[in-house]
Amino acid sequence: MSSGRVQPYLFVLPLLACVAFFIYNLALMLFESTQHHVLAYPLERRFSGFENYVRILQDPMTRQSLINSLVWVFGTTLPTFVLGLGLALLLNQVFFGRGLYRALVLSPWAISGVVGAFAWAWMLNGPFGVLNDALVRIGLLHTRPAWLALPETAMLGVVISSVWRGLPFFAITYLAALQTISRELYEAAAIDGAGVASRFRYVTLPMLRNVLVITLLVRALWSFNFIENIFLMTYGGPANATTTWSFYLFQMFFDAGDLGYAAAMGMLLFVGLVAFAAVYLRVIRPAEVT
Amino acid sequence: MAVRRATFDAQAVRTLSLRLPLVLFAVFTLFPIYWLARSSLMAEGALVRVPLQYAPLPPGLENYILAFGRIDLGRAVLNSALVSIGACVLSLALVLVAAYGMSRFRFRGRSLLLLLLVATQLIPQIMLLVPLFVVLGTLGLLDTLAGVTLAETLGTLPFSAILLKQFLDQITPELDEAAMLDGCGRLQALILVIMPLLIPGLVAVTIFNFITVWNGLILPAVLLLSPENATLPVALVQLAASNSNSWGLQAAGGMLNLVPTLVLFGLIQRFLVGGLASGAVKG
Repeated sequence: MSSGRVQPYLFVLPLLACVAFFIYNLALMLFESTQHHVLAYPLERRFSGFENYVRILQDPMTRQSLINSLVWVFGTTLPTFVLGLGLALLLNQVFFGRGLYRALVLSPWAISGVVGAFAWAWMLNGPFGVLNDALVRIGLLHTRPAWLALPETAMLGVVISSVWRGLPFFAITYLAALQTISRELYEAAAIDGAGVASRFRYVTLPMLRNVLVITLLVRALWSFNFIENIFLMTYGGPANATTTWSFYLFQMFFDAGDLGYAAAMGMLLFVGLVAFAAVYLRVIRPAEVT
Repeated sequence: MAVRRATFDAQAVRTLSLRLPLVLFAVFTLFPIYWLARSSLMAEGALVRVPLQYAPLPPGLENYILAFGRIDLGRAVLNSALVSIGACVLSLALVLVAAYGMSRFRFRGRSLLLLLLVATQLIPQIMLLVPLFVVLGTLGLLDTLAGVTLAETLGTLPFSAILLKQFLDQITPELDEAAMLDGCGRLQALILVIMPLLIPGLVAVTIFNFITVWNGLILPAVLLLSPENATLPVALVQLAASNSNSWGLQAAGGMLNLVPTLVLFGLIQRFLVGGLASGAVKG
């Protein structure tokens, strides 16, 4: 009989290992954050208490990176959300060639971040980028600015490449959710005299609410941690204009080798994200609808 | 007459409000891919001639030949394939059993485990690298493809388990019970009776994982130090770093990375929407 009680845990053992690694990771991060630990100087390693956290508070770069992170997270999440919903609504219509069209427009999801980032970096190139070429041809521009090398536009460039890559997954998810809404609901609304706009407002949105709430949250949390496009396209530059919190953390870790400082930034990020998720879910309350 | 005119206008507005966004979305999503393909087929000199040439005429394969000569792309493709397939197979075997456990058993700590699985996704991936270094170093797997395969597998587990559990929840437990009454053990019931019904879910999870691992950059870039171990995305970054002005070369390398995942995606995309609709989203 005792094997019956142990059996479930044997089945989920891989997941327990995963969670154990996660907890070990968290503990290690917490421990390292209390150490003065620069990889190049292992002998100087010592317990330093809250020193790293105090340094983070005093570092002007962390403040800028936090602002950049907020711009980055809102800048990528909101357009991806709105465009993803729009694309899903379109794909849910009946039109000729829909299957092929859907396969094509959703394909950026399958493309590696490296390839996508390179393609966009080159399209946004100053002298030889196709965006400038097209804008000059139509007469909207007379010079060829290097979008990613200008502090004012670099973030926009990285954001666009990220929206491009994130859009398909949002569209797939919303399309799947749209297809679970029963046709009868729309018919009933139409009989009650609801137009296109009010059907969207009173049928589609409430039915999608949970999915929208969860995808927005997941995407925002994921964006906070995501650095690949920044790493590949601008490396935080120019003049730190695209250095987000996570990218600064990455630089402190890999370029400066300051493990203690990076771990403290990681702890603050983790706690911040958990707090954000808790507040968000409390305010928006996804379960309310069901 | 007036009535016909009005319906005609409404029809035109409807058509336009559908067609115009369709075209705009298609341009936004597909143009970068077209531009990459176009650039991979053009000589370097032609790529920097202004005004730009929008079609790769005449097309040439020089960049592809050159890319294979500049870095060991064959080796990189092989490494990527080994890591991706290894991680997919390993992940599939572990997740099949684990998701079954999550779906069929009510045990102490079950909801806590689910919560923690979601929480694992909140830690910055960069911060996972230190413990990974420690663990892989202890196992003697640093700078080996096996080590990266393990690390990638670990990364895929939480989401795969949550996704596959949704598929399993759709299959009635009465089937397992019937199989066990016929004398099957739990694992036997899972493999002989449930697994055949679970194939759509297994395919969805595997392809999702394959695309994620095949495209992964950070883990292999940090955990693999020797150049001969580089996976394709790492090799592409190295190629770009040492040939920063050779766009045609980079585009050709990019195309080699992109084609396998695009083909896979084309095969599953219809099914992906259906799979999400039937499981993950509702549940």
